[in-house]
Amino acid sequence: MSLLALVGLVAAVTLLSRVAPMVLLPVPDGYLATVVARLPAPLFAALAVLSLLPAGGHRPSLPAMVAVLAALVVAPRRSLLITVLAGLTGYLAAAAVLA
Amino acid sequence: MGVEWYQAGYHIHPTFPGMEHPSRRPPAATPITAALPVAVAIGVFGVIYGAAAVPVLGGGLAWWSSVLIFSGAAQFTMLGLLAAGSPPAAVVVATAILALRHIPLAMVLRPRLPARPSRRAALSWFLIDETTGLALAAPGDASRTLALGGAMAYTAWVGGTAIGIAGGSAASLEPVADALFPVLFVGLAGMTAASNSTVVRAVLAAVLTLVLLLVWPAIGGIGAVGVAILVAMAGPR
Repeated sequence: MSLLALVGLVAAVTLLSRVAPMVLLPVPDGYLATVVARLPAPLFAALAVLSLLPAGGHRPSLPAMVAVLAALVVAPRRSLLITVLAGLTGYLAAAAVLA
Repeated sequence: MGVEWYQAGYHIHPTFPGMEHPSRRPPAATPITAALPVAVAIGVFGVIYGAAAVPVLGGGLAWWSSVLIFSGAAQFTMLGLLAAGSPPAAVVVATAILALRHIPLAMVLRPRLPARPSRRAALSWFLIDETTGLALAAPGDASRTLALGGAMAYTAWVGGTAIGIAGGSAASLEPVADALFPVLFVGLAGMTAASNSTVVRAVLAAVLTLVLLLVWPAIGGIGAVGVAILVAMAGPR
């Protein structure tokens, strides 16, 4: 299979995985609606941990951990911009201290 | 549908069945302001992807892969497997497994999206983790936030890829990039944690995911999504 065909196939799989649930899934009802309503915050918290841990089970860098701690401090403000700025500030501060 | 809007002190906030006792929150940002950090982070990863993809795919196909796929997880996985000499079938299977995470994302968005399937199909192109979070946290029209945030993210991803292909310095960006997505997801968790009980669930999901990934690193994103679903299922019906 050529690389062009492979990219096309991966694109088709990804597109289908987006369109199918968006079009076919009904509006959740009953217990499923309750679970779905509870899902976003745990989902993003789990993804935060997933993206923090480098592949292969290695430990994250200290500046990255400080960035996450700084982000956690301001997360209750519910502003993504402030959270990202705090995280980057924490990262740069930790990197500067370690340098 | 179970969606109810009410004025919660400072801020209009959506509730769903299971969202108990929303707390008072500061005002939400406009969709563009909220989407800007997401677009910047995605653009940075686009530069890194573009630079990494050139030796494997060539410049032209690297750019087209971002135009046609628009999924950092799928594209980085494809690159890694191709660079390791994996057969095409393994690449397709791996990206298909990664794509399963679109199901819970679509599920959580579904109550806030238009009834017309054709409109939802058009919006599905912008279904990524970050835009889902923005759309869920937005006080206004979720479909508008998804489209606007998605368009900004897509432009940043394709543009960042082009910069990386053209010789953008990925080495200087990689260390900061390691911290960008965890911070973004912390922000999205904060934006979607509308009550004390959801904060507790978020913390529990983070701890359980950490333990799971330390014990079984290979389970990756499927494990993280599975933990989140189990935590959401726990408690009273």
